[in-house]
This record gives sequence, structure tokens and C-alpha cells, in this order.
Amino acid sequence: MTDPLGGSGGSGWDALVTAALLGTRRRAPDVAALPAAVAGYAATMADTGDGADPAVRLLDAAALATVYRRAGRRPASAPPPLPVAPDDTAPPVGAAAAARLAGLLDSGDADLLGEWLRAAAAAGRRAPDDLLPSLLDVAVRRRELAPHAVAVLGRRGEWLAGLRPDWTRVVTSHAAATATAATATATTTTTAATTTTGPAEPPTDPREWTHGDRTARRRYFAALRRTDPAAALDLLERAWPRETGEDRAALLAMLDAGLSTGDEPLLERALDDRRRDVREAAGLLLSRLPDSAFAGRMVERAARCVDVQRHRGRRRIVVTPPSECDAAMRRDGVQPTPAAPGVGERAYWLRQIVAATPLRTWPRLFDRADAAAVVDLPVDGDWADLLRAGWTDAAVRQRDAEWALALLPVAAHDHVRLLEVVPEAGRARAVVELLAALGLSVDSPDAAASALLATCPAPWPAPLADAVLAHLAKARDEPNRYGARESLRVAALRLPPERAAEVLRLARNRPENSPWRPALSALADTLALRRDMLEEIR
Amino acid sequence: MQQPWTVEQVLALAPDPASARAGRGLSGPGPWSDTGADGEPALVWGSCRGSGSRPYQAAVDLAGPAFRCSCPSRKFPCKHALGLLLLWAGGHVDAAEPPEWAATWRTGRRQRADRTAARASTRAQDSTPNGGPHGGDGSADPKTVRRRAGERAARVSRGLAELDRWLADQVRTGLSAVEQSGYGPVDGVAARMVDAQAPGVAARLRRLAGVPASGPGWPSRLVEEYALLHLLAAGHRRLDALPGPLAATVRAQVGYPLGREEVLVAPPLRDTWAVLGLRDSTEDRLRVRRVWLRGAASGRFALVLSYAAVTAYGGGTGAGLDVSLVPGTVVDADLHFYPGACPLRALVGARHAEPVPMAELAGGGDLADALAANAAALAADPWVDRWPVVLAAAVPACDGDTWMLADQAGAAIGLAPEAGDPWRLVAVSGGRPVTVAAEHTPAGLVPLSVFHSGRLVVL
Repeated sequence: MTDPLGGSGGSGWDALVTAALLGTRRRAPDVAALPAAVAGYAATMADTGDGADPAVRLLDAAALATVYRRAGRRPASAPPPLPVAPDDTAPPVGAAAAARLAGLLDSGDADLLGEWLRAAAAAGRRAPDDLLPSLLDVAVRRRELAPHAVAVLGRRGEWLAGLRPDWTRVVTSHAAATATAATATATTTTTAATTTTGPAEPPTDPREWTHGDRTARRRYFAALRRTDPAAALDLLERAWPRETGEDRAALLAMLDAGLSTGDEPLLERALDDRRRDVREAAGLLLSRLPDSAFAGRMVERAARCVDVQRHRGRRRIVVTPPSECDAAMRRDGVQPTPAAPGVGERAYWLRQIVAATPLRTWPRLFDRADAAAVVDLPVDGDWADLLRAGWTDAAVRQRDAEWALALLPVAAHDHVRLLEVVPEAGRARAVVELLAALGLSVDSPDAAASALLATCPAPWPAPLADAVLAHLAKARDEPNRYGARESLRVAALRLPPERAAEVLRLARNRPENSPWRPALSALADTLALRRDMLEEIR
Repeated sequence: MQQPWTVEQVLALAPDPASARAGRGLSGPGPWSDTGADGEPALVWGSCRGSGSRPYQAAVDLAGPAFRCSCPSRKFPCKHALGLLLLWAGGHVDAAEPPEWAATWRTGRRQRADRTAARASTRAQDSTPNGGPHGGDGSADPKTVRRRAGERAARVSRGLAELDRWLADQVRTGLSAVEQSGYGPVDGVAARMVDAQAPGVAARLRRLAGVPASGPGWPSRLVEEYALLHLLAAGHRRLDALPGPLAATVRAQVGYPLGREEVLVAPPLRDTWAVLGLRDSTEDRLRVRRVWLRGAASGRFALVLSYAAVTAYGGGTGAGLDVSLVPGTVVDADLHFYPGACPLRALVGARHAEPVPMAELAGGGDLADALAANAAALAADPWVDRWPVVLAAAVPACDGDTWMLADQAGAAIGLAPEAGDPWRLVAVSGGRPVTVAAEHTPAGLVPLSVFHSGRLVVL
């Protein structure tokens, strides 16, 4: 705004202020420099009463000038305008859903907010304009919600994000999420490929590799490996002699994306690397290449230790653990000293060998049809547990869903690790069977049940939902609070919302002072809330 | 049974965000039993199972609204009352006969409310014209009242004379000393103003304690504030010679109390008042709620203030904050303005109809109109430092890192620092002109709300 009394020092208002700063003892106020109207009144006041005192003269003049300035302000001229936002094509959600979103953004409940955002995106709706700033702030603060938030921004939201650098960053890094939202599928092959997240675009600037910092180089390499694996391998091979140890380990691990037999030579070389983390990375990746020389060596060792024999007409696995850990074994990544005390050396070596042997070896070796048949075979002596532990390690490392499913019923503790290898669609059934087989109740003390339930994504299919509700119906009246709370927390977010009424009935069936009553009511309320929330979006 | 409120209307009642969250947590049917609603305006009741052994009984009388709950919370309304209203808004409460305890409470409350209204109207009938202070204690003896008023005026005069001498001293020695001295000296003078029964002056002094540290241009701002205080002292010296309305303004600025009953005495202005915006702030251990209204027929602006005490840890019951005016609605009501040269503050008197949603925000102008209105206000009341405006077609614009509001005539005014970055306004406008209600202050504009796609968005 422009000041009607002028802004340059030495005239008008500024002169008055300077006089006040210095003190009228030192500098008399110069009233004459003020505009005529103000100076005129100030002069008449100076002739009356205290007006002779310079301090009072200054205050009088200042009072007149202040009101004059405030009333006389003129606006500035408008700066260049903001670009106009493009029109949106997607419809906004309705008023009820908008109010719900405002409440969710306010309450900070990330799980429910995530569900809301996913449902809105699936329904092809966008967030209301006035909530876009809060939504963008959430996307910046909470990485896990960012892709879902970006999906409901609409064109107005993207325009808004362009006005602030932190918002721009989060939107561009998740832009591909909107384009490829529907293409994520679970693989059904036995060796599940790693799911790639983020944009599948080739890197554009080779200077990021040659001149960038550590993060930029890794980003570049990851993007290149996703789009052109052979070129990435070539790049790494050429740069190998000059890379630092840490970089060798990190970049080598990135070869996991798009792993193929072409990578074998470099990986084999890396087995001789000076640094242990490089050797370990190489060994892990080689164990995922069943046709490699490494795999062949492991198969040979395995065949020497594990064999099948007939005993009283029945086939039985017989185990002879290795007698030494020779140089070749150490080169292939077998650690000679057990990590934990109380584990025998030879058993430790055996487990590592089994973990690194390609799983397709075993049916061939034992002349069985598949993983389930192999796991069924009886094992001589006390070796059953160790063998299964080794196979579990192998299934996790080699991402073999068939073996994971076969091992689930017999694995002692590793259920969650094995379930994570199984594609999401198959987990629910496995968990239902597991809950029954293990006799786990919903409020198991170490929250084991809730850990299993947590591997199954929302919404739970009917068999799993039925099983969980059946468990809740017959759970004992004095539950283990921690276990129960964890299970209910997971169930609240993943049970299909239609079950709300059923859960409320379960709550009402409990005795008055049972702790299940408030807990199940709260569960029913959350389910009802989710049901209402999803209704509103439609 | 009356049409239930919307969720937004219910949440507007919450005294703070924590209560709103807690209320939402109780808004499902799970913990509630024996709920019902009856009558118009409605009475809503229910029993809520809490952490104690017996359920809490909560009831809300929408005529008011008034709340009652057997829980030990001091908040007002408590989370159970909020949850009950949300349950009702969600359609989970059916019409029913009220139970004994709820019906008795309602009858008793309404009788008391009628008695207070009757008292106020009889007092209005045999009142004195808009005049001097009564000390706010409603004492009937005119002689005592006059004597007390005389004593008070004398105390204030002495206090303001001392203030004027202090101001002259400051200017004589020079303000550059103020930068180092900090709050101490100003706090001392403010305390003496409180002793002199001039709390308005004390509040102004306390506010300007922070000016020296407020960044470049602070000497100019400080001189302005000192000058206005000097003007106030001069005005009070000549109080008897001033015209009635200006004298009332001076008294209000100095801090003479004025009771509700006295304000309600003045003839009201009936209009359909659009509720333009709502803002809460904290000043001197008090929570202050400001609600801006604009009359459709008269075009007059009004400001309704309400207060609530804040406890030591920043919490508070919220009791006392006005919950009846919801931004985005239009109320057909009588407004009683506080006396003054440029009346703005008002009390809501009789209401003639239920609030209806706002269909449009009309009567806006451009920035030249806004500045002209501000100048007119200053001409009547020189101490005005906030004046509401409605801009018909304003666009947010950015000049480097300063945000401004520009109108269709190519003029722009910067936003005041207290407004922060106006992201919600930018998002709603999308770079296109929108109707904005704002406050004009010497430091710039403070946007209050924007009207967009048929509803008012509070900023």
C-alpha cells in the first residue's frame, strides 16, 4: 500500500518518527513538513495549553497524521496473477464424504484415512477444493499415504501443488501411481518377482551417475536397472574396479531387480571380494539363480549330506552333515562359526547349505512330485527341525510360494516370514488353516494370532472373516488383554464393514462386566464407521 | 420431531479440537442406549456407557442450546453431549417420549429462561436513555450510582493524566531506549492503568509491549500507538464536551464496563443477518470468539464477541463462548449495537426464525470501496483498527513472498502477517475471482471466509 505522507526520509511522517526516536530533547519535531491539513491543525493545537511542550506537539501531530495515513491509504497495483487452474474432469465427493474427510485429516488416523483415499480413488472421485492443502500436507508428512493422497488430488490439486516446492516434490515422485494404479497384481509363479514401486522411466541425465552424490547415483542405477537390466549390468561391470566397498555392496544388491543368468559372471567374481557385505550380497543373489555354477556346487554338497533310503519299506530322509567347512564352502558364503551359542558347527553348516540350494533340487533328489510330498517324508534322527529350518530359509530367500505353503503347517516359529512369501490372495486361506491347526486363540499372549492376521490385507475374504468372528464368539471371558487388543486392532481395519451388526450382537451377548463388551462395541463402531464412510463416497 | 442438525453444526459446538475428536469417538450406536428425541426445538437424550460402573445420562435442549450430563467432565458441551448430537445427526435416534429426568430438566430450564427474558423486558420499559455508566451492578439507587460514577471518572482521569505524562517523557528522551528496556516499564504503566480502572488502556499498553521486537518499521508502529493513546487521553479529558456517540466510544476504549442489560435496552435492528466468519483467539488468559455478521437489507456489519476462561494449562470449559451462530447460515434476528460513534459490536436479541443456509454472499465491492468504508469508519472512530469488508471478486496473488488480494480493477492489498499463507483460499479460488469476507487492519487484510460452490468456507 502506498503511504499518502511519502516514504522518503526527511519529510512528513518519517521525520516525525526520527524525532521521536532521537527524543524531542535533541531534535525538535518539524511539523511543517506534514501535509497542509495536518500541519494546519497541529499549528492551532500548539498555541493552546501544553502545546508549547515539543513532546506534546509531536504526539498531537502524530495522532493527526496517524489517522490521516490510515484513512488515506491507497492500494498497490496488482502483481502478475497466478496461473488459472485447469478444469477438473472427475467429480468431487459429496458433502457427507467431504465432512468425513475433514474429520479424518483432523484426527490423524492414518489407517482410516488411507482406506478413505483408496475408496475415493477407486470410485473415480476427487477431494474437495478446500481440503487440498491439508491433503498435500499429509502426503508430505506421511510417505505411506502419499500415493493414495496424490490419486485424489484432481487437476486442481496438482495445480495447487505446483505452487509450493515441497508439494511439487511429493506429487511428481508419485505421479506414476495414478497412471499405473490398476496394474499392480500378485504373481502366481513360484518365484515371485520383486514388485517395483515408483516410476518406471529410464533415467535421463547420465551426469547423475558420473557426477552425482551417493543417493543420486543409486537412484540413477535403480531406474536404469528397471528399464534396461543389461545396460545397468554393463555399467556396473565397467565401474566395478573403482567403486568403494560400500557402493559395491549396495549396487550389487540392486541387481536383484531383473536378475538373470547374465548377471552370473559379475556375481561369481564378487564372491572373491575383500569385503564381507559384498560377498554376502553376491551369495544371496546367486542362490536365486538355480542354473548358476554356484547353484550347481550347492546341489553337489547337498546331495552328499542328504539322501533318501528305504527303511522297513518306507522312504526316509537320512542326513550326514558336512565334516568340514572347506575353503570352497567359505567362498560360497557358508559361515564357519555359528552365530548363536549352543548350535553345533556341523548342523550350522548344513542349514546354510540347505538354505542356498535351489528348492527344485529336492523333489528330483528324492523322487517325489512336489514340495508337499518332500516335506511329508519322515526324517531320520533329530534332523527334522534343522532341515525344515533350512528349507524355510531357502523359501524366504528364493521367494518360493509353493514351498512356503508346504512348510507352513510344520514350521515352528517362522509363520509370518513364510506367509510374506505367499501372494496376498492366497494368504487368507493359509491363515484360516493355520489358526485351526495351531489351536491359536484370538487373544494369544504373544499376539501370535494378530501377527498372522496382519499378513492378510484388507478386505478379508469371507472364510477368514467367518473364522475370526467364530473365534471372537467363543473366546474366554477373561482374555489376555494385550493379545486381544492387537487382534482387535487389526480386525477393526480389515474385517469387511458389513459385519458390524454381527459384531454388535456378539458384544451384547457377553455378560455385563466382561471386558469383551466395550472392546467388541468399539470394534462394531469402527466397522460401522467404515461402512458409513464407504457408503458416503459412493 | 425436528429435523436433525448436520454434523458440521454439531461440531461447531465443540469447545476445542480434542473435544470434537472425543465426541466423534462416541458417535456410533455401540455405547448408547435408551436414546430418543422429542419436540421442536428438540430435546435429545440418551445413556452412554463410559469407563465408570454406571452409564452417564446426557441430554441436550436445542432451544439454547443447553447441555446436561452426569459425567464428571468440566467441558461444556462434554464429549457425551457431542456424541449424542452426532448420533442424532446420523439418524440413529428415534422420536420417543422423554424420560422423567430429561423432561423435568427441560421444563425447569425453560421456566428460568422465560423469567430472565421477562426481567430484561421490564427493565427495558422503565430505563434511562443511552447514557453514563452504571457500574454494572444493577443497583437501583440513583444517588449511589452517580457518586460511584463520579469517583470512577476521577480515578480514570488521574490515571490517564499520568499516562499522558509518561508518553511525553518517552518521546522526550527518545524511543531508541525502548529497544533495550523490554517489557518491564510498559507492564508497570499497564498495571497502574488497571488500578485506575482503565482496563481498555491497560490492554492496549500490554499489546504494544511486543512492538519493538516486531521487525523493521517498529518505530513507526510504536509512534502510531503512542499517538493514539495520547488521543484517547485527550478525548477523556474533554469527555463531557464530546457528542454522545463519540463519548461512548471513548468510554468503551478506556474500558468502562457496560452490562448486557444496558446494551439490550437500545432499540434493536432487525435484519436477516448472514454469519460471515468465526475466529477464536487467546488474549490475556481469556479465550475470545469473534463472529462477524452482515445484514442483508441494511448492509450493516456487526461483530459478536464472547469469552471463556482459560485454565493455567491452556484448557478450559469453553463455557461462555457463543455457539448459536454458525458461519454459512442466515439468522432473522434483532441485533442490539453497543453505543459508539461507529457501531460494530453487537449482542443478539430476539430471534425470529431458525437459521437457514446461506445461498449467496452478496453486497461485496472492490478494494476502493473497502478502503472508503474503512476511511469512513476512521472518520467517526479514530481508534478503529479492524474493519470487516466483503470483496465481490477478489483473487489471491503473490508478489515474491508476500501474499495479496487483488480485485478486478487491478488494485491489490497485502495480507497482514497474522493471516499467514492463505493456502485454503488459493485452493478454493483456483486462480479465479471469488467472494471473500475479510478484516481490514493497518497491517493488511485478514481473510475470514470465502463463498464457493454454494457454501461458505471458513478460512
